Amino acid sequence: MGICHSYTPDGRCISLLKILLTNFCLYECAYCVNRTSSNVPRARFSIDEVVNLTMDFYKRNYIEGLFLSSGIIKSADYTMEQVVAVARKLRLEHRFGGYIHLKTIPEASPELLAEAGLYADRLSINVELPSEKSLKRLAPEKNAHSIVRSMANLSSGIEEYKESQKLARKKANKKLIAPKFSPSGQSTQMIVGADASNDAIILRKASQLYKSFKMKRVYYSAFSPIPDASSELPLKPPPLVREHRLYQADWLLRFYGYGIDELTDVTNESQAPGMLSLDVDPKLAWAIRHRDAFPVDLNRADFETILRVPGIGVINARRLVAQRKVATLRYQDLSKLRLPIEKLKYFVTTIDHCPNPTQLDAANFSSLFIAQKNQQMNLFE
Amino acid sequence: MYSFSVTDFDGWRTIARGLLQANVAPSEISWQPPEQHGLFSPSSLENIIDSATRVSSSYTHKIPRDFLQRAQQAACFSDRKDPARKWSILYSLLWRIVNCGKETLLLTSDPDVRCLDSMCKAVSRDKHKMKAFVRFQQVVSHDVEIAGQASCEGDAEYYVAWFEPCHAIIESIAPFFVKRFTGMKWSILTPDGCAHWDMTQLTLSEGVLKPEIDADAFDLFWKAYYRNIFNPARLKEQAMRSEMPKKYWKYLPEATCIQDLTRGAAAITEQMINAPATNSNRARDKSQAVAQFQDTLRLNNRIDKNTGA
Repeated sequence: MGICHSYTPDGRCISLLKILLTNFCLYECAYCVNRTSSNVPRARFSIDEVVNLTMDFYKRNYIEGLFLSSGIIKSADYTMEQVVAVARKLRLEHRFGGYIHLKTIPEASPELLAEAGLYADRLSINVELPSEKSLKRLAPEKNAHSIVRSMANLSSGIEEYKESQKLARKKANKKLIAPKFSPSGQSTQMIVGADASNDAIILRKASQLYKSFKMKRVYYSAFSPIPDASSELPLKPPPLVREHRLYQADWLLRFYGYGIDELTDVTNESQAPGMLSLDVDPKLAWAIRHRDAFPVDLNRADFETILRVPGIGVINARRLVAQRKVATLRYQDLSKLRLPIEKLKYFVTTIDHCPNPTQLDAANFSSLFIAQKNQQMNLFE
Repeated sequence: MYSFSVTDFDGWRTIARGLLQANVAPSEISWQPPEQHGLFSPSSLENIIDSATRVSSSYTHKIPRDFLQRAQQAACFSDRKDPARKWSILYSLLWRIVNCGKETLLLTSDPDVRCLDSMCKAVSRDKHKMKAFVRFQQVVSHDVEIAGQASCEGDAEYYVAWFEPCHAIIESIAPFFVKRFTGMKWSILTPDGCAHWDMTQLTLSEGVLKPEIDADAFDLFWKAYYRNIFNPARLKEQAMRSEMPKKYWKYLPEATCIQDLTRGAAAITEQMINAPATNSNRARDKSQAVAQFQDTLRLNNRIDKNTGA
């Protein structure tokens, strides 16, 4: 969250000290490097060690805060109690003002979850896999019902706190604010490529989570080679670009008004049913399938229609709509806004530009973009 | 032609307000960097206003607050080639807002508007990177004096950071660090100015040369963390470099690890992929307690499903 204080050579932002209290674990989740059967070396931090490390890193401006998770030892409650103890000590003894994200163990008691909510800015419970069947097979100690129950508990706790804030504001009485509960909401993580679920199933599960539990984010995590892999896993990890396409689709579903079917209904194409294209991004793929909706006249079309033009995002769509009230849009204005003209030019008209209609209708239209994209894709391979 | 020399936003604002009242067009003004004295010193502004009988003194212009905020941001911009250019662009925009309406700012493809945008963006990026990459070191030796700040007053730990921002942002960014590191005594040193916080008061002082800091070795732990969270199977060096350009690496202790991590990535990934898979019953076969624990949970989960609970 917030500021990235460094980047790893794999391009990930480092913003939180993200550690496990211990990597000893009694669960046998096939995709996890710390499952019981794994040969990785084991270690355990004391509560004070994590507290001091967090404080010292924070004071040097290395991090925004702590993201604490843990392998399951002894029992769910015992482990959760240790995790909560770290957050409690940071907040109450050290007056720590940074960010705290706690990974919550779904089987732990509701009382522990409630206390975690007092200290944490964010709580998260991993849904792990898109279907209950896959969960049974790959993470046999995890219980789908506990996951749902605990997500619902978090959701109502968060909601209650939010409501009390609203009421307090309305009545101008701070005393009405309920005890804090995970003010930055909850999030979850789903493993991609460890089971056979296609993108449509994954996105449907994600949508359901966003809707039922008001998730802030669903994180998609393409399982990546780990040292000492389990014999239960598929031999080949999924292409990393699949994870990227899922994030793009997730964004389109939440902020661009697309439906899941619009993005994944690709039965007439050369790819597997229910899968997003790896060659082009899901928005461009939709536009290529719906060429009859283009070109869009940027001077007349409504905001929602402009949002569907490949290469125009929410901010630029807003800019275009604001700007055309002052002066009619010209082709030149698009490059001044630094829009990707090479992609855009086939899909829009301005007062002085209209794409060649034969190009848009041509059978090999999509190959125009795949050639461009193939160079970029190297980034993800 | 009038000529003005300006050092900061407040100075520009005072002059610009007067010029606007006197209805002086942007083309009639030459803005100068502070070291070159203008033909008119700011005090002669009164003469210009006095002679401008065409404007009533009670007349005030309504300037959108959003523009003033952005202008203040752009005022931090340092343009080495043409240091006074920002003042002339800001005045020209102000003039157009008053004469053509605040819609001027919506013309995102207009050269002045774009210039304001890009200055604001550059300053805001510079601030953002400073918030991210300022790294405090805890000063070890007592009785040292850094930029006029003694480290031994009281028993409080003293932290120091050295940073070279591209733009003149130290003053506007200092409150951010005060808010975040309130319970800590610190100094941030830059060539153009320094900020010091003694846990009660913020003071600003002249810029300094890069000091020698006798710091503790805590960065060892940070480097260990950095080395261990890297996933060699996902090497994306370009993505890292675009967010964390090399010019910042000198502030980051972990940057010394990057080369080794990058170089070894392919071999480690190969090794991971080719390693034989581990039998998923390995632990269960060895320990009855583990098997029992897992079986209890697995049985529970099955019952859960059967009863549809």
